[in-house]
Amino acid sequence: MKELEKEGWNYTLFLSEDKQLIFSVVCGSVGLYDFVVALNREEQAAYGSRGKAFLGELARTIRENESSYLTRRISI
Amino acid sequence: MKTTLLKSVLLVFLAAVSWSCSDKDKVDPAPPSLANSWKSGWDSQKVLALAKGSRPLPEVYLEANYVTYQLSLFEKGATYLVPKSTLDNYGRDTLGYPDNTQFVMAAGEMDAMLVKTGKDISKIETELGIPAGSWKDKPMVRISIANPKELNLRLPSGNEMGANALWLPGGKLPTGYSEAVVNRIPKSKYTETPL
Repeated sequence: MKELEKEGWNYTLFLSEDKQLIFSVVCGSVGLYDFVVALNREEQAAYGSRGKAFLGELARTIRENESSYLTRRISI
Repeated sequence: MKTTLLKSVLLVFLAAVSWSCSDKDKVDPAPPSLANSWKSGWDSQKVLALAKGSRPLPEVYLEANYVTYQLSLFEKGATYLVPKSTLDNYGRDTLGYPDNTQFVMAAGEMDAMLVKTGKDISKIETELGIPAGSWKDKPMVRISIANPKELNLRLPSGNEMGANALWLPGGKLPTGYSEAVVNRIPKSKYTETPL
């Protein structure tokens, strides 16, 4: 995968070989883990228009509402 | 003569009582409980009702002796767990979230937890409230901080980036282990050990 964006100890955005945008968010407190999702069309469009500002907001949303993203969670 | 004798006997008796009440017989006071340490008008629900980012410092709603006691649990060091791949990705120069926070456990409690779980990753996930499978097949690393007071050790407010929907006020994980927060950790202030 190719790394497209990164904010230290916050998130990383990758481009997969099949051209999916893969978003990895650092989560956790006394145990850190990566929560990874593939961006859906709306999120891809938002990233396209707003860039890293959108990614920061999405990272915060995922970190604070993991249960809402559990069905989309993938492993890399 | 009789009075002098009685006084002498009394003195000997008092000395004997004093000697028998040695320090080893003293009982340490029970540690302050969270339930009994809320300041007037505050409880867990009231703190959690406040939006993240707007929560007060724990000193606003918790008695000072409770805060002091909780932080004393970290005197022998603080620690946390992270996948090696995450460390490789984000680097080792400075650890911690961009908001200058990193949650930590007391070193002794981590040691006990690892013994309890036999370092079984799935059991560790359960003990620490990590989503099941998050650490499956991932080499893990333990970050150890010998002197967390140097990094502004404090009880979490719940405003930290690492505080999620399961966070509880009072410096304890939902599973009961003690937790605190330190500032971001420079390379010189931690050691990395494979789990």
